[in-house]
Amino acid sequence: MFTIFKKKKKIYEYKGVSIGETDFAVVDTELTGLNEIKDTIISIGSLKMKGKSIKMGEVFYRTVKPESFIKKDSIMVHEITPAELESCPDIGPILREYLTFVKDLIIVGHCISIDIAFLKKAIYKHLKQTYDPIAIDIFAIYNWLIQKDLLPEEFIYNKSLKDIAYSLGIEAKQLHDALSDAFVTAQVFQRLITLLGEIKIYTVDDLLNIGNPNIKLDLNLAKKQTFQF
Amino acid sequence: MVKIIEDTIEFLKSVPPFEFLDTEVVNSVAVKTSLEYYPKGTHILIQDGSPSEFLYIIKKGGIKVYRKVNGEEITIDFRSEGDSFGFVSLISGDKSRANVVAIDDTICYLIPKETMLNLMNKYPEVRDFYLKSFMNIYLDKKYAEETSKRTLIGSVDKILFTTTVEEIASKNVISIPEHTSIKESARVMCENGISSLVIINNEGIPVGIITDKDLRRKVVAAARDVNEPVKNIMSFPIIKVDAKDYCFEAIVKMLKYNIHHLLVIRNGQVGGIITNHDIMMLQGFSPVTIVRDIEMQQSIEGIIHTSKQITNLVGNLLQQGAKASNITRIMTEINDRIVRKIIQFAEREFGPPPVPYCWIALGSEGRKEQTFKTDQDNALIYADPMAEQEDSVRKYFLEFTNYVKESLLKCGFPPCPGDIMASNPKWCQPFKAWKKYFSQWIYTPKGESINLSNIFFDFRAIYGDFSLEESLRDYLLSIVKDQRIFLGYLANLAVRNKPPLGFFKTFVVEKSGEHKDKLNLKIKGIAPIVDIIRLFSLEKGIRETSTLERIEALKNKHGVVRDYADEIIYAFEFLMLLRMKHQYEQVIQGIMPDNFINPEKLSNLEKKLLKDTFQLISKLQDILIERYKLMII
Repeated sequence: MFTIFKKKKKIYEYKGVSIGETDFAVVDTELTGLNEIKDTIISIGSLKMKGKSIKMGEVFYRTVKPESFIKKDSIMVHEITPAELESCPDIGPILREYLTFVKDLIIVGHCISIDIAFLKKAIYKHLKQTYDPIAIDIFAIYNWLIQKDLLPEEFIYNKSLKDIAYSLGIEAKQLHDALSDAFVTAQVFQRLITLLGEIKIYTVDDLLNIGNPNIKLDLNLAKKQTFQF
Repeated sequence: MVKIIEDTIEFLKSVPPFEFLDTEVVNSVAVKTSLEYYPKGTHILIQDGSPSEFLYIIKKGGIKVYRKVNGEEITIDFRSEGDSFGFVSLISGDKSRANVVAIDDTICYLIPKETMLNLMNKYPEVRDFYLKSFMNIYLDKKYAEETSKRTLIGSVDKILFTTTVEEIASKNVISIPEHTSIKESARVMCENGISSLVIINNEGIPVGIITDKDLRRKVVAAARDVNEPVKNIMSFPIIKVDAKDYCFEAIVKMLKYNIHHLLVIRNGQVGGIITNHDIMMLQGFSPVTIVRDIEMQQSIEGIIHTSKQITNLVGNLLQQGAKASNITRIMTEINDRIVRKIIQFAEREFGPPPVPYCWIALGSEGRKEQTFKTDQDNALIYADPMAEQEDSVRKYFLEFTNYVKESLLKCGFPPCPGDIMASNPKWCQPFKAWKKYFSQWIYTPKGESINLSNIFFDFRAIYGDFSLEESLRDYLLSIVKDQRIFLGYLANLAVRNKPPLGFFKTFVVEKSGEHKDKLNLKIKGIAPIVDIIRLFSLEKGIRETSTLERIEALKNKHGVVRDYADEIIYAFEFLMLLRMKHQYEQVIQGIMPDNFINPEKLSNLEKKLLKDTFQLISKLQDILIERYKLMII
């Protein structure tokens, strides 16, 4: 209850605040798999933005010793071998570093609720803290723009970060390490904010509504019809 | 590990001025940059808007810089990948002078003002890069690079282009009055252990020089009376060189006058003597030595041998960071001497000419812009013979010119594919026939004759009776000046080849064939400049034939040249140097030199300069079109 109350208050603080004046932390994690119970974090990548400006020097990237067995297919995707991971540091201190890096900034990611779920679980387990950041899902914004006819209809079939990036003309050659993915995500976010600007959406509270990761897409659609821009 | 920063560093390391900095420094810049995205049509900077807080470097896309003056839009520049903008406003803190609009979806790296100011304080190369014109700094930087390379690898650290004459000139100069006896002069030389004396007249002005060689040849060998005044055996005129000049200048003068001693002048006073021997000591070889070799040859075979040294000579000069115009000056002197020597052999072979004649060089040879051995482009003017003599004179010169052609071929100068050579009866003509050619070309310009006039109007006397060449030029300049129609045709030719300005995929290159994806430097860059400057020279009756000399002569006479002279000179030097380096590499690899360069292989800075150069050419072409607008087809 407490965290929800706190979060509501924070969202309220963003009312009328300009996107261009706001700092964001784009986050991506690499996991051993997608099973929330069995799988764990392999690496965390994050970089900061101010508005749509990506800060090339303000980056965070750590690989950790995984707490669970790595499935074969995720090894291939991440190109990290179990032996390499064995020599990496434990996740506890890394999570602390992560929290210091992102502070209380709005978190931006692709299907960010997955990343947040894993981070939340790990932070609770290792640091005994509740992690419940304000977050924006670029996938939600992307779909919202398609529904609004601001992006072509056929884009609805793009689900992966790579496809989304490609559809917006972003080169995504180095996918699948957490920082490179975060960088591509940041560039997608950059484009999406620009498109929102074209229909005069400039404030963070509007952005939080459109990119809300907690509301399912259909719900989101129902909600947006009540918006009068 | 942090790949995205590495990418930023790598990108910065490929663009000037960051490419001149250490990786460590570039790294410190990279972490301060941010990456911005501007969709097509975004105004990034606004004219009279707030000053720029960043230096913007284009990573992808392109921008247009333009100003609005009295409601009219004036495009200043297009910039693309690797280019930057926002600098002037950043440095001055003044409001932005122009609008900058993205003409495609554009990604820029933004370097904050403070970071840039720090860089400029710490690294003069960064400051210089932005504050001086791009061209200027490039030539200097390249020059410095070449020089330092040379110093590192070679043991010779003193070189032609960095050593001033006074550094190596012998300062021990003794002058004696011109009426001193030969015997007394020789005694002075012996006593002081010197090999030359400067001879001065009654007013104390140097008028000649005597050397050991003069004593050997003109006194001992000729059994001359040693009581004669030294004046009778001195070499003159005396050629001077300034103490502050680079040794290179001294070499050119020695080549030009075929002498081995120059008088060094310091602050208007005689300050020393510099000899070919001094130059030899300086760097182990001297173009003057090659020329002396040529002069000494008594057969074609000997010349063939000597002319083989020319490639090494060019390589050497390139390594020393010589400017293109300096290299062509030396090449011209050497090539001219080879031609002269061969003509002398021809005279020996066929006997003295029945009437005076003048051998003329055409095209690039006429403009003194040859680099490696190029096609023979030449012709011959002979004095109008009497009617009954005509046939025999023609016969003499045809045999004569054929001999020269074959000999030049043996020395490595291939025949002209268009047969524009003195051995072609059409181009071996009496003076009156030449006048007729020129007047026909000018008064009734059509197709082929316009191309010919472009080649022939760069004619330059090489050997024989130079007055024939001078008279022909007088005639040409007198009839061409006000022929607006003919000049209009030349203007058409000069704007025919538009330089590639496409800035997205950098350069327009050959689409197919052997030279696919390559850029013809001659047709797209060098020729348009040469053609434009030739046209201006004809407009103003300029006698010079080399492009750079024409520009110098036009500076005070032609409005366009006055405004753009320095830029044109830099552009021309740059293009010539690019071509020369390219051709040198080919010659070294045993390939026939050509004009096709691969833009991909150029450094970013070179690309940038090439683009600047092309923009300049395009601007000049626009001016030409404006001036000749009624006649441009």
